[in-house]
Amino acid sequence: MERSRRVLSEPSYRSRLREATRTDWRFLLGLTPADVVLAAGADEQRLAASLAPWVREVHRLEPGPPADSLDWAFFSGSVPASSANDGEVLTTLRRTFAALRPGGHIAMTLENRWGLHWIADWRTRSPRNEPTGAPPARHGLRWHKETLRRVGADQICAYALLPSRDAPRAIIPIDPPCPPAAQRMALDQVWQRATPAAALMRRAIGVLVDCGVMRHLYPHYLVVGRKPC
Amino acid sequence: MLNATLQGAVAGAAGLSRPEQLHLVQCSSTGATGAIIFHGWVDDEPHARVVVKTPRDARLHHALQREWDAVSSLRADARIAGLIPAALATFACEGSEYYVYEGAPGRTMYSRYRNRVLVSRTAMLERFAAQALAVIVRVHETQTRQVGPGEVARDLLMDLVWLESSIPDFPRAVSDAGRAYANRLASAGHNLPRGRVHGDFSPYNVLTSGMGPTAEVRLIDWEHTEAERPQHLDVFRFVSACVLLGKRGSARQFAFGQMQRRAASLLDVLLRPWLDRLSASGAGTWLEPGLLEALWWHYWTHAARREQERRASPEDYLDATYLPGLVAMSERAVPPLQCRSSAFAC
Repeated sequence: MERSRRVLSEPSYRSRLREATRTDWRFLLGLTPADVVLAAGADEQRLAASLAPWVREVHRLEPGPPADSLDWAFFSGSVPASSANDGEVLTTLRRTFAALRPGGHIAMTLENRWGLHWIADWRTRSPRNEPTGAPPARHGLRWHKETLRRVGADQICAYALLPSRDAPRAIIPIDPPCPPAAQRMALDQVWQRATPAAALMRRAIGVLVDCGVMRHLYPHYLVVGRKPC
Repeated sequence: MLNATLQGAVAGAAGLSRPEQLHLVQCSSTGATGAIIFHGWVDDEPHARVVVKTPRDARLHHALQREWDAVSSLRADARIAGLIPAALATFACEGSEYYVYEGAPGRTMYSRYRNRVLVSRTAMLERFAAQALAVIVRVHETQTRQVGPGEVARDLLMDLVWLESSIPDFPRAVSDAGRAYANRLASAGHNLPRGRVHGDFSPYNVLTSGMGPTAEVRLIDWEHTEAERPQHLDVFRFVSACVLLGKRGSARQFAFGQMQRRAASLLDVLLRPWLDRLSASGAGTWLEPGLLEALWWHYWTHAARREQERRASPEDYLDATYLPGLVAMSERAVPPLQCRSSAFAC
């Protein structure tokens, strides 16, 4: 009986599922078993370990991979958090960008802190939500997109990751945006708490989705850019 | 869109001429089969145009292939074709197999349940049961026959033997209780319907366009459908899932322990009329406490097996509800049963 109890509480399934969900974006990104990827950022070891079964080779940032050798470069966690200034970040990204094959992609995940970065960005935009020329607030979604643009990436797109960037269950296109009904459906699928308070909160979030505000308020994002062919 | 191959193939299956018209939103399943699910949306449409499934782990590919085969064949039956989203296309892309289904209008019953504000849990579950009755009778009537209680008892024993052989040191108390309940079923003296079952008939897999009796209803997730099983398993699956709906952790185990008591009103709404429609005779007899308890054990044993089969490997037992529940229940009170039939040894 004791052994049965122990077997019944084995944690292997949950931990395996958690490892698999770390790389669930591989389908949407089109990762293939022939790809050579770079894993860098806040938890690069864990990211490298979870990517390893799906790709041919996983490299780390140090020592730098050779030029034109990578299909994908992943930066997990906030890129600027690890560097003192924008110059350092740009140097790292340019070095990585040079290591990408033409047509290869660079992907970065970032925390949005439920919109704090977007709110910080307000002062850099006009009342009509047009850029004023002031640089975007560091760490935010706009900063990441503009940084990718500065290192030479094109076809830049962004996705919201829910509930976390580490093991996202929902990946929602934000830029270019998907319909509000799709966002509401994804939020409902991910946040399944069945209490009246949660139901009211989901309704409130639904209103934000319909107003077009919610796409700035997701807790985590994935930003991807392509190296021109 | 980054994965242009996937985007193009799904857009083609959705009948779109330009891939950029399609927005793919990914929602991974947390279920044990671990399917990755994409919803393909088109601007200004109220629901997803297509739903795409692919296995998270290629080793679990069989579950999705099985669902595809089942849906393709069941859609050919005009009596239930309207209940099942159409299978549109299947294709391979970068080493993974993708299955594309028609998107269905409405929301799952579970989504309606968790987004309720003023409706009580009991009232909502009873409305679900009333909606479920009409649907499941339609499914069961497509293929059904009456079988004797001995065949139902054999079905219980089949699942029990599978559990005993698959789980190391399977608790003796569960084996003993299971065999005792099989004996009780075998001596019931009335028939039960056997035939086509959905296999995972629960509020998670029933899509409705509203709460009224005229609401449009669809059934999804057909990977567990079987052509020849005791059909009351579907009814008990639904009632059991309703009792556990929204319960997590220790509350879930507690609700499991109280299931027979908490399910009484749902059984009145669902099981009683279902037996009246599909059982040839003796419908009321099955609702007597002793036989009802045996039917519950049949379902729990079946559910425990299903729960283990859905694990990624035989060692994966975490998050299981039914087997630990059976262990706890059989430890608490093994019923004082006697052998009533020579066909089943105690």
